[in-house]
Amino acid sequence: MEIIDWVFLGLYFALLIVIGVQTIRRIETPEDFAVAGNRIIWPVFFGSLAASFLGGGSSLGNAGETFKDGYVYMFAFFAFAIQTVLVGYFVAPRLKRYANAQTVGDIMENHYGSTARLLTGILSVAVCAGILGAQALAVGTIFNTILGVSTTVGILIGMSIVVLYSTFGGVWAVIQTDMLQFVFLGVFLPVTLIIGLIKVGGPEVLMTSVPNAHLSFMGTWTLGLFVSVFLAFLLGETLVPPYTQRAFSTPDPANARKGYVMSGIFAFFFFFVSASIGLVALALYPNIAPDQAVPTVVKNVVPVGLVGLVVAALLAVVMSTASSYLNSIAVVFVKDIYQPFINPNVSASRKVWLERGLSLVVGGAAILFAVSVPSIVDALLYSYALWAPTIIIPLILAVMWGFRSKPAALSAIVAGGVVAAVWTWVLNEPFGITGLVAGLVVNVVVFAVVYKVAGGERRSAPVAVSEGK
Amino acid sequence: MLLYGVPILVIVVTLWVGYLGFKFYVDEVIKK
Repeated sequence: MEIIDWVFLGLYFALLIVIGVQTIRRIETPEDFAVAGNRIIWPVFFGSLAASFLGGGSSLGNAGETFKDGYVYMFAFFAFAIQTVLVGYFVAPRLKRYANAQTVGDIMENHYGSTARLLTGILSVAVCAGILGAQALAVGTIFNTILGVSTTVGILIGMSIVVLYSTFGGVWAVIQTDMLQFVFLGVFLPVTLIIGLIKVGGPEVLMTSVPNAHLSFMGTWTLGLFVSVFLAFLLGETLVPPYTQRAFSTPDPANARKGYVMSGIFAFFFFFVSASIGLVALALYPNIAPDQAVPTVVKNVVPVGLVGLVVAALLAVVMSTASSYLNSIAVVFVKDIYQPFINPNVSASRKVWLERGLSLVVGGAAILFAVSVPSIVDALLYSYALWAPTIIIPLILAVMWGFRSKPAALSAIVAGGVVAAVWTWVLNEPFGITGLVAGLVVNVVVFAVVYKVAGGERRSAPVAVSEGK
Repeated sequence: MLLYGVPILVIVVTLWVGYLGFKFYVDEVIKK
């Protein structure tokens, strides 16, 4: 990278810090820290949500897998966009009926009692910690593979900035920096594709330079493999804490629906862009490792002056995801674990400082583990596989149809989690069925059976979540 | 067509949303 590129990259980091500093004064209450005082209108919600869910997997990962297997991976990845559109249209507006809600735990307690809140809180923290750690590692990888900076230094630089603005500006800083990061990733990754296409010789040459299977719907995949990957993308991240929290940040159901649905539609096009960069890499550099697809194209194809901005875009992809999950950990821990079970009388101002302190400590721990014990990050990432088989069904049943039954929800969460864990890590996913699917099926069945036996009620209009609970 | 059209569409939508986001930032953060 030339000096001009380093200058642009430095300016990007400086802008993130300026936004972090400027948003500090917007944080007066815990609601400001967690849901930006419910003032986030749909375009900002759209950009922020897209920046949060477009992480390393949908950019570097999607390009690398398309390099290897072709567009079939992108078609499977479309499941995530489909899920986002569906959740946005049907679920997101209903989330706004829960007055003062800030976390998934708020809804779970409202319908299924305080134990459900605790279980949701613990799982939320574990899931977010795993994804945060993975993003920290990705920051280090981008620094290392493209800039030649050591992974440790890369993690320290990138994640320190994330921790800094997330700690002081709370979700206000996270959302506003998301917007900047959204612009970087939404402009400079497509620019990279266009430059790459020109370098290849145009779309027609690209089409003839890659194997035909890479352009077909199923590629070389079996139907079973496609369905299992599709389901994993469809359900794996549905309504995870940062996305739900972001929906709560909107002022009303209309803004929640519009922003959520549009971010889902945007995802289809973004996935096409990142997947196509993978094909450009295959056409130009067929002998590289798949995970080097994007870094290789950036290093060799993008001209001086743009490289710094494209690197900023790649860092934006992972840093925006990291800050969203970091903020969620702090908010969820205080809201779903500390306040209800440790210190119910905590004051509002103390909650803000507690959330700031947690952002700092958890962010610091993420840096430490990513640098020195990446195996801990890997271990935490396992919890990611437990989100869909435990929380999603009870949550959607609650939000969409007003189901209320403590025994049904608690037994479904425990049974779904245990079956998913045993199926995945003890039985090693027999019959080609993933732990997600096995756990989800058990989760649904147990909920239905226990609801039928133990009883419960259905009340669609939720009671407002009480302040501070 | 798709290979040039989609990235251009993504850039246009991003810039438009970015502009709306910037206006929001000025109103909600800078001016407050």
